Amino acid sequence: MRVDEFEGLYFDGRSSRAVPVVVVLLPNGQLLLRGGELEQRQPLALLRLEQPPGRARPRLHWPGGGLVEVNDDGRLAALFARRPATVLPRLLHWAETHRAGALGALLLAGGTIAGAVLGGLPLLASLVGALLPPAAERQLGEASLAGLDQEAFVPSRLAEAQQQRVHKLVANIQAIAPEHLRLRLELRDSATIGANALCLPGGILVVTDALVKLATEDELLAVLAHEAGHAQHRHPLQMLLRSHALALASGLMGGQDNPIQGLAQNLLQNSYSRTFEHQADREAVAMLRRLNRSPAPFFSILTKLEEHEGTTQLPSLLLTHPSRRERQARAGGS
Amino acid sequence: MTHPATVAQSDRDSRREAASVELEFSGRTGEYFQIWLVNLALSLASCGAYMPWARVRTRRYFLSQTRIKASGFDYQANPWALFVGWLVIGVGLTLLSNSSDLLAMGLASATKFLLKNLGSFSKLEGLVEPMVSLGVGIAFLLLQVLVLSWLVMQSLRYNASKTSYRNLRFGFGSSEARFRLWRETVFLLGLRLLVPLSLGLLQPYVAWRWRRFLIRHRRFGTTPFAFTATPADFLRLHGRAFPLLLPAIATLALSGALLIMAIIKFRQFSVAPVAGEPLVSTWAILPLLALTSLPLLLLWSCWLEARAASLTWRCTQLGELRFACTWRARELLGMRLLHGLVLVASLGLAWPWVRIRETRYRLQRISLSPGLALDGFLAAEEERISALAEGGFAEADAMDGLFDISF
Repeated sequence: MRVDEFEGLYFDGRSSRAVPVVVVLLPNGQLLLRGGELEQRQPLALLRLEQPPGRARPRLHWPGGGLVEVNDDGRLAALFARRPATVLPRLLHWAETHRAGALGALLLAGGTIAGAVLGGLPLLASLVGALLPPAAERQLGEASLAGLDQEAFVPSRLAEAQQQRVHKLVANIQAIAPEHLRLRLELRDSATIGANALCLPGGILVVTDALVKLATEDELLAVLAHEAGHAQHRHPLQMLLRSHALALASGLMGGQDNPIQGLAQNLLQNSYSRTFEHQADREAVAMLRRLNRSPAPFFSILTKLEEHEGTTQLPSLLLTHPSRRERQARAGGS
Repeated sequence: MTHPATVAQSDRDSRREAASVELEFSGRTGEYFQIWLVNLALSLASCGAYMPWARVRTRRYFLSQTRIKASGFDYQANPWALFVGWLVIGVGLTLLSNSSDLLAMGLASATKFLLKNLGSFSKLEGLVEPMVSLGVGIAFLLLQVLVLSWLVMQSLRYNASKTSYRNLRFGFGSSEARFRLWRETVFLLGLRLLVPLSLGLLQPYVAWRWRRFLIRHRRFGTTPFAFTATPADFLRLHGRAFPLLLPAIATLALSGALLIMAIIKFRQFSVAPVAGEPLVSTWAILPLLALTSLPLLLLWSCWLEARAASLTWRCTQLGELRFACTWRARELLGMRLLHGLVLVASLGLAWPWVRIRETRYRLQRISLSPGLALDGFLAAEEERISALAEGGFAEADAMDGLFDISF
């Protein structure tokens, strides 16, 4: 075989017959197709060389619908390499056939996911949250309270005087809270969630009877400050928006019923939740300082709750709340 | 035809035939893994905009690695057309599904307003909303079947016209008979909706009808495929598979009965076992029952898949060419179990391995005879032009995956 000859199979596009041919690069820059009864020459400009994905022979498109599957050693491809239309396909083919390309793709995929999860989704959620009017947020809070009332809560059985004391604690926090924060306390009894306090959208704080009985007044104030911290940063709304955005993104990636994506979604939500807990803890400590109180009761009630419910040895990855030790360390309590 | 002895006999016969040629699949896991990785990364980074390109490249890779007598297939779809089509489909389907709710609401309030003004019909007011939403729901279901059938048909036509072997394109139906084809697609999709209502009794007929539709409208160049199986063949097939389904049905019925008994006894589902109630023992039986029926169900579906494929290929002809397919139920089952486990254990990263392995198994067990006849197929000039004219309907492609039975 001469150096400027390439073997191949020719298909004319009119029948399924395969004709063995040679493609010859002529000195005048034209290509000659020769084989069987065929002998055709064409200028390079009228031809198109195309590489299918993976390891396969390139295809030389001949004018009039013919096609040559050609054994190229790279020299034929080089003839067409200067065309702008071939730049992107060649780049793709390079990435698909080289280790460095695979590594780059891995980095790009990981970077995109990490960027979206750590930066993009929270940013999107806070943007939407900023656009949502406070009245809508409050309505959301009312709706979730109504739902909880139906499912898990019964009205509080605390004595009137005891209820008033808790209300007064909330008023203390409201006095030092930022202008926009409107707190509202709801007292409930619940067998399902036991000694607990929650923050619903729109600044609604729910405290259970069991918690009021378990905690001293200072501890209760600390817990309320923590929940007010959630309210101040609009965590309930953010959580709602973020989990919706996550579900949407996961759905777009085709993973509605993929257990792996479901697990990833859960782990991410947990990590968002833990971030929020730390932020609320820091806020609570700051509020207590402004009220000239020590943050110590906050950590003592955490210890009490831990004893009340029993500690868990699960890794933090699987939990919505960080461990007490970690919270204490991060919130600067001692 | 479907008697086991005859099946084995015909398998032996096809193997004996000297001129028989097997499909080869030369895809490699490492190679596809890189293509998949690049596709995944670019799709993620472009918020999904790259997906049409990814789809065309993947399809093209698999088809070009599928060879008969050393020549590969090719797929030449235009990703830009797909991109536009997917946008149109996405927006269109969203609008369609949302407009049904809006329309129902509007109609309901209009009817209520009318009833109020007519007076003395106030008793009917409660019925308005359910009736209207039912009516609108049915109308939109019909509309969706119409639209979906058009998309499915166009997708089949487009993909066939973009697939080629030895630079000769496949085709599905013809431009002139487009509306007849559409009518048949509507009929088939409607029939599929009726299968659950018939408790599955329609399934053999639907399976036969759908395969016949997919095969006999297809052509290679100018040569049409032919399908000679009868509904009776498929009925026999499903009938022979039925005993495998019996234990599953029995266990399902038993679990249902147990569940009802448990509900009657305890009145409610408790989250946690309450002292004194034999809750644990009752509930523990259910997953056990499910576990015993699951492998049988899987075996049933694998058996049916293997036998239906073998029957379908045996009854398919392309001019002089005849086909044979030797998938085995046991091997399909083993493959499915192994692949499922590996996918879960690898957190989905083993997908390329699974896909290459499964494609290789499926393709390499399909053979053609006589393989000598591969040279004689012709394309008519006008067919090529009509195939190009279909490029505008690429949106149908999005539906293709749903109906891909890899026949």
